[in-house]
Amino acid sequence: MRKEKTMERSDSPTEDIETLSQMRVQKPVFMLVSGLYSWSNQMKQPISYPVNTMPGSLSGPEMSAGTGMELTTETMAQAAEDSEAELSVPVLFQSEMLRLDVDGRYPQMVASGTLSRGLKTRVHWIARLKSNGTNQWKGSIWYKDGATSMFPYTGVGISATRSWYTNHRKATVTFSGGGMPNRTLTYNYKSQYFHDVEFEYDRAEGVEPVTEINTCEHPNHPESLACGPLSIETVFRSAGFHVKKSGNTSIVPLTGTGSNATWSDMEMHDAMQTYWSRFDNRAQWSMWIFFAAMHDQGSSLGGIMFDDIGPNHRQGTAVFNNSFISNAPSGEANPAAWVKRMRFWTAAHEMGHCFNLAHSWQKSHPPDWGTPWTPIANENEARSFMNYPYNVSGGQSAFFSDFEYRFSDSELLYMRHAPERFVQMGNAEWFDHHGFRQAEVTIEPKFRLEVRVNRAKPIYEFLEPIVIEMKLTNISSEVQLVDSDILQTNEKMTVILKRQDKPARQWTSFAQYCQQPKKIVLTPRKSAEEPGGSLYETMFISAGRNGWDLADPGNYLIQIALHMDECDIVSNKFMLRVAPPQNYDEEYLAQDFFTEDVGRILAFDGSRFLTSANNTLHEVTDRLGKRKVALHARIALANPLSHDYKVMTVQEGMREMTSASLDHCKCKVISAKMDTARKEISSALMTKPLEAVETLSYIDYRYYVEKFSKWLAESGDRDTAMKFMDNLYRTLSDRNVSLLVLDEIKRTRDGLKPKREKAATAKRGGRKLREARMHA
Amino acid sequence: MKIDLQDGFKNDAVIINVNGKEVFHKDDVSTRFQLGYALSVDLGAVGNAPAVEIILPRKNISHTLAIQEPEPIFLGVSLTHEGSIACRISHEPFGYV
Repeated sequence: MRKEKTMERSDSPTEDIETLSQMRVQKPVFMLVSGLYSWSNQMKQPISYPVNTMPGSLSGPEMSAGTGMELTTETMAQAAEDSEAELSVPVLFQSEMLRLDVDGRYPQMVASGTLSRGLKTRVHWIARLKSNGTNQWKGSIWYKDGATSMFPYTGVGISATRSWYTNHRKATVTFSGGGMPNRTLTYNYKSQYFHDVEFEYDRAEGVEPVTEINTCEHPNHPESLACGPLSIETVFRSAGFHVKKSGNTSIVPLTGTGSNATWSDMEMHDAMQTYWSRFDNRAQWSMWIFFAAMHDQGSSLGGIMFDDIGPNHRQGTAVFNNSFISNAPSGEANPAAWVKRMRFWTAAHEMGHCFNLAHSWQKSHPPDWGTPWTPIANENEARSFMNYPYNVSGGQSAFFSDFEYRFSDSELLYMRHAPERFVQMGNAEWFDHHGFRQAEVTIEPKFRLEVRVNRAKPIYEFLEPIVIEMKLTNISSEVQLVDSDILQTNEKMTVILKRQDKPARQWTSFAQYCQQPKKIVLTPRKSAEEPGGSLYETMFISAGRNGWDLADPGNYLIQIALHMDECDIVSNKFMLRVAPPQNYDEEYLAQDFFTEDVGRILAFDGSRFLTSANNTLHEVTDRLGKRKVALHARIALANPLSHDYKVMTVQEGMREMTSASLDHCKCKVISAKMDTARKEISSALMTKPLEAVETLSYIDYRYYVEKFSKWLAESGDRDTAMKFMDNLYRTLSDRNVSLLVLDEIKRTRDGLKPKREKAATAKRGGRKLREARMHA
Repeated sequence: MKIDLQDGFKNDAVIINVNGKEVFHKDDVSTRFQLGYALSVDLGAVGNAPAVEIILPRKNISHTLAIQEPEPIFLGVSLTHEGSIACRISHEPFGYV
């Protein structure tokens, strides 16, 4: 298997003078600009957002990344000094932190920031950067978290001042885009590190911790690896943390193990509370590392981040010296060095879990495993502390031959730049928000993905199934080819739903479709006012394989990342609200409504097999007939009645099948119930068409009406079919749907007419065309 | 043979059959993700070329493999993120950290 090379030697050696004595320092500290910067305004004065601070840009384009407007040190400095303008936001207190990550150890070419207003309001942002000249970078903001309404910007331009003296180092950041005037701030340098963290090492009686090794003591190592002492503290300093040791060390007596001299998770948790000098039931950048001999589980457990209980997870972790990590492979020529290296590696690995890092192969997983912010690609071959050396191709020997005692780039990105609460010990629960993949967004995307709904206010009744519309637009000046099903298949997108104050969840559809690949053309953008061609699709997003994610009343955020060949396209963050139940009936029915079977029926437009769920939908139409949920229920109940339906029957009491034919299964055809179907569909689509359009979405309403119109026409009821189509045309015309769509509807309607009438229409249409040409 | 249920289990019912006979059944298997491990099933000697079947009845998935390897056999069973069962065989015990 080809080894995946996930890490690049992109770093320049640093100021960690105690680490690798033979490493040549290529760039002294004062030449680096990466690190932590801050800005604050503690004065009770308005904070202003300079309007038109760029020279010559009184009413010009916004200075967003990729517009071509040059960011120079002079213009940015000038912008910062310009006097305040009309737009002011009075605040009591405001501070901002900036983390600039463009040089130094394993630079990620990222900037991130946290803006704090008052005691509780925070916004966190992350931008990917590209060099834009000497000491200058620019990029798109691809991640925001928190009170994002107060931070609409979409791009950053950064200019940094290098200096011998730390108090002369500055970073000037101009935020742009989002429909706002540019905003420029100058931050003061604080530290070369991105966060502080403290470690406390304690050990059980009779156990010697390994917190430092010589990187070349074992001869199996990369040739390029600098040889010398390497401490755990240095590993995490290289990851961007200002590491301190607590200064307290304890020897934990074996009486803590009970009678068996091995440790259970609960015993270790008790020891942590007793012996860790910093123990507290609160989030803090501090962790306890316990070196012991063996866990209750035995020699197969080399270490564990045991602290996944209680209100504050990830504060403690343990290494078991006498486990399998102390058994060098047979034939190992340097067993002592091998063992020491494994114990060191295990300690850093377990500490990585305290930073909420998952294993390298666990980063991409279904939502019921836990809640990543966005799914991350697995790094099965990564040479990272978070991978098992014996799991990679070629085993531990191959791993260590190419291991540089580091974390992967995606892990560093997370540790340095994710919102603090995801990473900090004692904060987000273990495996919650354990990492995110930097969406591969480009500064100049070719597409825009929009999530929207077809109603003035995105407020939904309780129980109302939620259908969103996705619109993918070509915003480049070139023709673009896209897969025709790109918005239809869950495999090509990541859909994140987040209820306010709850963890994010990933929506996954009930079904996966395999379709023959087909490309379609999206025409290029002609001008800013005339965007390029678009592809549309709807999504029933209330329920999926993960359950009903949009059931409870509250505010929700929806965001979608579309994974295209070259990059990811991230949609706008769309907010909607689910209203509370209006009466007892809704609350009562909710217990039966929010089930997987009902979700499946709504997703697949009906079933004649899921009887119990169908009964629930009948009850919904009976008791909640005027509510929008009843409209969806009627369609789902009527659709399978409109045609003969095949059902496979199995023998009663059968538990395990071998094959359908061997187990005497039969296919039964259930006849259509045309009258009932006609009545329910008419009621759903025609009684209150404006309400139907709003709750189903334009696209789905049109789909249902056209589908049932064709069905009616084929059944011989052309009059009703034509009425359906006329109604559709009027309804969408009133909603200002595009003329192209209305024209298509008209042609579909005309296609339902009897042949003689079709020919007459065609003749009239042809004569009119000839007359038009004659008079042209 | 020892079978380790490893990654991907979350309140899952798991049945293991060896040579057609049920040897393990638990209704609530969950992985500790910081280890990538849920639990072990020690089956002792299983004879030559055992046929091992792993069934997750609630998820309606199963996987059967005929093991042609000499003993000792350590079989690691995981649920992938696509929802299928993946197995790997080792002649040494699996280690977890």
